[in-house]
Amino acid sequence: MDLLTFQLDGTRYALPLDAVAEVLVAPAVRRVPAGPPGVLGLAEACGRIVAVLDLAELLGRSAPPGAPRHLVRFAPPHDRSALAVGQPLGTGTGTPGAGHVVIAGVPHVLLDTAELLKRASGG
Amino acid sequence: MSLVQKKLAASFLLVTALCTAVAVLVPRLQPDLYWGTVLVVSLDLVIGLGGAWLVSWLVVRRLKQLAAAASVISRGDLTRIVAVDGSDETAELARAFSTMLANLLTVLQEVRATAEQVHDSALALSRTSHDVGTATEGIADASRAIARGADAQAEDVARTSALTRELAGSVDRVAASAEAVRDAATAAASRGADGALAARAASDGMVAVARAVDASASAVEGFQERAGEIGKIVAFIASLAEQTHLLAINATIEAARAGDDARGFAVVAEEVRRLADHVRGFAEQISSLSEEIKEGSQSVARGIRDAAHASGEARSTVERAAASFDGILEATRRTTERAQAITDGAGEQRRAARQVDEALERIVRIARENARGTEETSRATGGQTASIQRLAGSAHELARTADTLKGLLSTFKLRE
Repeated sequence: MDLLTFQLDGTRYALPLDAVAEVLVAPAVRRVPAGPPGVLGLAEACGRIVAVLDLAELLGRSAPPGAPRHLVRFAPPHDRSALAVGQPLGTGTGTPGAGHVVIAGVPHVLLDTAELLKRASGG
Repeated sequence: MSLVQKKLAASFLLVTALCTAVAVLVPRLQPDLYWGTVLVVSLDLVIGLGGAWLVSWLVVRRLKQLAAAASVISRGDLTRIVAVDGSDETAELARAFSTMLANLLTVLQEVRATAEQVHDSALALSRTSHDVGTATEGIADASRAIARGADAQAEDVARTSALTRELAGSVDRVAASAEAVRDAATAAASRGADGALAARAASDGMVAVARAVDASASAVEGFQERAGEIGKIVAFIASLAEQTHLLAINATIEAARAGDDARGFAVVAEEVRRLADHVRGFAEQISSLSEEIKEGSQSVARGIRDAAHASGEARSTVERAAASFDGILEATRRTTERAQAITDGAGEQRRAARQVDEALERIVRIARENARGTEETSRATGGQTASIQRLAGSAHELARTADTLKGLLSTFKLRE
């Protein structure tokens, strides 16, 4: 399974590569008043307005200080959403386990795009 | 013939004439012889007795007066006046008696006046002697006090002389100290001159150091600017590497989405991403080194600035030290002059102290001589006091004698 790996606040994560449209430098994120807790705000990416999800908030962890450095825009049909990540590490191949995957001998937290979007929508 | 004899002769002749007249006249008036004879005898007897009484009265009357006067005078009353009339021997006697009385009265009056004068003079002499004795005792006391004062003065002057000698010794020590100060000041001036030359040389050296430090600071500042430029370049390279890294990731994503036909493209994209990672890593290392160089150059720049500042302060300090050396030179010059002035003044004070000591020795000698002379005067005054006391005693005795004489004279009653 091809995966996109990135690092946030010292933890390595992995996303299925077919769920990713692109990785880009994070533009300015405008916060939405009374928005859902897992959504940082709105940002413009490649001429589109996308909702930026807060991964730390969605995973119930403490958010890293400062603005997000990069965004991972999801592939259709979730291409109106993006995930704020730290430093993208690259791509790799690994066998998924129970919520994690080992890539080149290094364990990563395996993220489920549908589950993240469900949490962001309050489900 | 004396007048008394003449009076006696006249009285005898008168009695004889009267008796003859009675003897002639009575028989004519009394024819009876008997009665005539009785009458003549009676009348002759009366005439004889009358003549005898007259003669005795003429002779004895003045003598009685003189006897009464002598009796009064014998009782000391010399105021009695003896009447002198006539020119017979009794009158002469009365006149001589009166003259004698008058002379005696005059003598006694003079004696009394003289006695009173002697008494008054003796009393005055006694009082004067007493006053002179008191004054002489006062003089003796004053002389003794003067003698004691002269002794005390001599002792004080002796102590003053000793103090003067001590002062002279102190002046000698001051002079020695002043000479030592002058020598030390001269040595200090020499060393101060050397120090001033060294300070000026150090100041010149500090100027050269300051120039070198300024040049180094300029070089470091240029180096810092270059380091900043390197940092900018490295940041640009890092940014390019980041973008390349993202492009490679996105290319890998697109290749994965394209399927197996794009597998080779995915491999190339992965290699590109790795190269971008390497570049980014090198850029980060260069950036880190650049930051270290920048920090080091900043530290060097701070050190150079501190060194420049320290050099400036050191130069100011050295210049102040040079100025201080100049001040020390001037101060040591003045110190030398004043030490010389102190030495000269100490010499003059030493001579003056010696003169004062000699003068004090003369004063001590004179004061002791004065003390001895005053003691002799006191002793002489004591002898004089004894003489004056004896004189006062004699005056007192003379006054008593005059009193006695006045007492004797008081037995005589004299006219005032």
